[in-house]
Amino acid sequence: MAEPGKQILEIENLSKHFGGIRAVDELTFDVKQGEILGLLGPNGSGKTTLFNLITGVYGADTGIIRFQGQDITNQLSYKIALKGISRTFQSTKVFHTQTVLDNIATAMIARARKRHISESRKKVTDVLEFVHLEHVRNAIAGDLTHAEQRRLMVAMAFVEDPDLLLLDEITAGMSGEECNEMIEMAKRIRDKGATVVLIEHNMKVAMALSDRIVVLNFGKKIAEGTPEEIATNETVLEAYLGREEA
Amino acid sequence: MKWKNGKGKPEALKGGHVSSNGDVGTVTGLLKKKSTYIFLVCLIFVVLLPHYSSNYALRLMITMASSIVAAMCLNVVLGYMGYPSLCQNVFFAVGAYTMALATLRLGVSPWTALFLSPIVTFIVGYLAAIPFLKLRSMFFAIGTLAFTGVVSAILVNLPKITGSDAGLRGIPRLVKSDINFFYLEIALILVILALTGLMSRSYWGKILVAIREDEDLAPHFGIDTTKYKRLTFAATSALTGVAGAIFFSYQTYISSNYFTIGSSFTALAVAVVGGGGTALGPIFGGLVVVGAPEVFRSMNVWRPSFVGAVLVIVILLSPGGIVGISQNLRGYLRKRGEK
Repeated sequence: MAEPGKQILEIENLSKHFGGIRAVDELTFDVKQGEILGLLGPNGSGKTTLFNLITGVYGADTGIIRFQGQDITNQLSYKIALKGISRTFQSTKVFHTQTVLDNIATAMIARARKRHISESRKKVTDVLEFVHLEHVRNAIAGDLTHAEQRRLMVAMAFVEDPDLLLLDEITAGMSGEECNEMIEMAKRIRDKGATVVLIEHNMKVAMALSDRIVVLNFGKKIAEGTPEEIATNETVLEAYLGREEA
Repeated sequence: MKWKNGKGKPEALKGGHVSSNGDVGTVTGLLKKKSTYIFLVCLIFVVLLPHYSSNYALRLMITMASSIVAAMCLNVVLGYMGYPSLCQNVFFAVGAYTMALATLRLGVSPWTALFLSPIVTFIVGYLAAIPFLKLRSMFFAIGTLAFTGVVSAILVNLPKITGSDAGLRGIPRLVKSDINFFYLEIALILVILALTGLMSRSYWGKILVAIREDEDLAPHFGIDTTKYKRLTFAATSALTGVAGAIFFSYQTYISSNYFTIGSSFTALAVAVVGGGGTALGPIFGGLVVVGAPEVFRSMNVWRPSFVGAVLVIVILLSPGGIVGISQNLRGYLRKRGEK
């Protein structure tokens, strides 16, 4: 494990174009070991595209992505996952016809290191407790509520203790109560010492959770700093908050 | 197919928990109950059957058994992995021609040829998997159908090698009596049944289901979907090839007429009618799809339409196939019992 404060993910001049649209445009930033970095930006600012580039869903046009010092640009998704990057999705993605336990088991299969079964068992029990899904462990994932499915998705990403966790709008489509529960959970993930990059649409949630925030607009980084700095940044207010007030 | 033991794979966490998506049919699971005895009785029945059958019936049973093998293999690709392959009979053909050409042209013994056929079929299956498994759902079906067409055309147009539609005669028989051929096919069915059962309980089965459910999600858990898809496709092709080799060694005659585009639907029909994604489905499917045309033999020209109608009715009544019907029936009877 690297010492805290060291860069775990470095992104340099990363670009991705879709036709004429520059989804990610010459983007450069770092993620440090043990921090929670918030990615903020209006719709279509390239946040999810960035996650897709980091996890190998899309190939980058230009630029380099380094994870723990290694170049992972344009590698296959499964190899990136095995290196220790885990993610959730904006739209809920779980294996719908499988039980909660089967879902978590599937998420563990490839990443389970050589270890005793009892240890795997314990991991499952722990993660189910962590996301408050013990009571539905044998239920079919597709039958769960939206909020439960999203918690399951986090559990599947989190179960093998990834070195870097990418959370794409964990509160998407949730009511106030469920939202708070999710924020609580994200805080507990932070307390466990995980390094997290968080896409968050909700300004309040991002401010509450992040140690540092990077703001994107039209694929470019327009601001970077602590939540306090971002909250008073003129450019951000114009690009992001200004639009919300309108 | 191999599965690494002692790796603490998560499926071991679940104890007696049975996968809940209708993937019944795991052999070990069945054997724990009274179905063990049903299975044994069926097996004894199957073993005794050919001794009391006419030559015609025995021939039908051997044909049925080899269709069942092809369908069981397809069932893994279709039912577990979710890929509707229409080129199962290509691998049946590759296995069969390996048997025919190795014995007739190279002069090796039929048992050596039987050993060669899965190796050759595995390689062909793996090479076919590289382009075709990049396609999904309907496109995969169309691609594999075209592949069947291509192979069929090759078989017809290389008369010097394949004998074209005039065929190759005098393929040596693996065993002398027809009954032993039947036993060979049954042994192959039992092997595949056991492998499917093991597979569905191992991490391999979980990975295939994950691919079927959401192929784009699985890689984010570190699953190399491409590798498992190709290996599964190639392994099932190899086993289909063995069935082809046995069947045409029994026939002693092979011709390109057996491998038309139309015949590529048989395996699919057997798998779907029996019930996709279940280990026993293809066995019931084989009995119906291969058996029905014989039952309606007296109907002459109306036979194909009648058989087609039977298949459509089965699928309409129960998308889960024959295995699905029996499950529905059991549920219905249980409900009536409760009243």
